[in-house]
Amino acid sequence: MSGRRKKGVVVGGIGGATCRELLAVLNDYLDGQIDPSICREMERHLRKCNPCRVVVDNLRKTITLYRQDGARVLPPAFRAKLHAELRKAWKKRRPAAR
Amino acid sequence: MGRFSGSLILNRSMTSAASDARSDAELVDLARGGDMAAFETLVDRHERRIYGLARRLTSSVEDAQDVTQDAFVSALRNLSSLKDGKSFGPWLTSIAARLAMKTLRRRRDSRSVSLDDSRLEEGGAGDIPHPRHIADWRAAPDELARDSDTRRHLDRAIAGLSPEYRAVFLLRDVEGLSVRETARLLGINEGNVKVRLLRARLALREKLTTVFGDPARQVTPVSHERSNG
Repeated sequence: MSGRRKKGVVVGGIGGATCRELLAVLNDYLDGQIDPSICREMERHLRKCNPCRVVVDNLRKTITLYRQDGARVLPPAFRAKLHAELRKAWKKRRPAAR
Repeated sequence: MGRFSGSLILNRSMTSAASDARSDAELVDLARGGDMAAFETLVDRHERRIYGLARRLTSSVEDAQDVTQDAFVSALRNLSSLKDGKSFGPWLTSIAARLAMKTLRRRRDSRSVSLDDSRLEEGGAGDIPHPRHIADWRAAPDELARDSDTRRHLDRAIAGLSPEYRAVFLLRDVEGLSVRETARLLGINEGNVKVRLLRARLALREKLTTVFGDPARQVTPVSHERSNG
């Protein structure tokens, strides 16, 4: 995982970009909101850099797991209380409501 | 008797809300017209997602219940101000997120710490810590989700993040808000959202990889600082 730099300018790393540069554009890459030319560069890097490839895969799985586990069943007592409060609030706002 | 009494009836109502073919926009229109059952269906449809968000944002069962209840009461009272019924879900999310952040702020105020901590963005994206523990996970997310311990690991990992990172991650990655919406909701700029999101994602990956990573497929990170130039 390294890159070649001269006077702060990247002149080539594994696959043409450095791991650090991948990190800097990682959000955009994961979100599919990356400039196509940078995306190609990143994919070239990922084909050759196994640690970065694993990190990107881990990140995708992390997001997927949390997304799949976003909803949670309400404890029955709380759910009953919530709905009772809502019924009360509804009637207060709309006394004629049934 | 309404659908709000008795757990058996409640469970049935959850099922019927899920299978109700009417869109949120239709239900919002009906509720605005005085149809309480339509509003109840909206509650049934969104309550688990809102409660899940509140649980993870506040890391507290009690606070999450308060936030969930206040969010739905607020939605009921302000339904007429919602411009587009199609946006009921994101609108409700933003109400719940604001309430949760208010709760966190109140909690922090008692400890004299600001929630909007500008030090979080020091160094920007260039100062992002490099991944340390790198390993392929032992299973795919679908398989891990079937393990009863997985939720505990997810809860523990996210509770370990600062509230600022937690909020950005949950709003952006779990609730699907845009960077702009997340920034507006949290009162920070879009650049800060991006930096916090990257840090949150990497921190969660690091923690979860220590649990879900396959030791036999561990990869040694190579130093970043090496330069061939």
